[in-house]
Amino acid sequence: MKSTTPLSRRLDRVALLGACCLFLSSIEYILPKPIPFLRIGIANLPILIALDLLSPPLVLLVVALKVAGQALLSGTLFSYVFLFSLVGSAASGLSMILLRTLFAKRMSLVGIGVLGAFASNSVQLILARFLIFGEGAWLIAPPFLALGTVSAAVLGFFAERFSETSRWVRAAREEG
Amino acid sequence: MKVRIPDVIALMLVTAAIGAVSFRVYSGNSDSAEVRIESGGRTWIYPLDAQRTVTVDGPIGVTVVRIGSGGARIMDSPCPDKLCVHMGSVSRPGQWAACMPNRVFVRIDGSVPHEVDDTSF
Repeated sequence: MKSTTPLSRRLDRVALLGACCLFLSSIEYILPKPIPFLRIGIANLPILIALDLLSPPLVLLVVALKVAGQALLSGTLFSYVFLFSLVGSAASGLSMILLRTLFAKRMSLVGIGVLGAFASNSVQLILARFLIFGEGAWLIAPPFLALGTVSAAVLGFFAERFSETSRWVRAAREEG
Repeated sequence: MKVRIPDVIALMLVTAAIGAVSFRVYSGNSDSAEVRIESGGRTWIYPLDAQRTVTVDGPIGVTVVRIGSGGARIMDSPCPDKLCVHMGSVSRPGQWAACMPNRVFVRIDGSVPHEVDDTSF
């Protein structure tokens, strides 16, 4: 996406979307989780929105802001959890950018989100396999991947609806 | 919003992958845990879900190990203090029982995860 909009305007979008990530991270952090590793990933919503509004480097900047915000909120910046978050988010961010570039509008945010979540969760499982649990990591794989898929599909659906109806998204899209 | 073919393909691919992982992880999981009995440099491996009694020859006599109901325990050993018998049943990977005087070592090997108290990503 070649944009004619001044960089400062596009950075404003990065800042707003990054702030949304931070806010949604705090919501996610508040919600009780029955099992610690199961997350719904609502903080990824702004990243799905960002795919259509920003160039790949700036989308990755939003991803970086999300990772930083989550780490600050949960206090895991200097723990191994941060590594999981960083690697997982990078995997999903890169794969979603790639899918958007390859398929353009032929694949909706549902498909992109589901595949992005799958990429993130797979990479995290592989990390868990080698860093923490050993072979036992595969035992948590099925529920981990399945729930990630369901929540990503719901989030993707929501993001798609949001992109269709939001005036802010439309204005930003027209602006380029 | 329209459901498009690539979306359906993406969902099917992911579902298939999860199905494949589930199948690999959960089928044959019960026999992935095994009982290793070591004595005098020799090792015997039995599936944990077997029902059998194994006798092992050691330097001072015969140690009897019973494998059954998801665990293994030393039933008898020619040692003076019978500590190994009192160690009871071992069932989870990493657990072990041993008769030191008779040099018989029983441990559970397998791929059941460690029990983690809490973690968050």
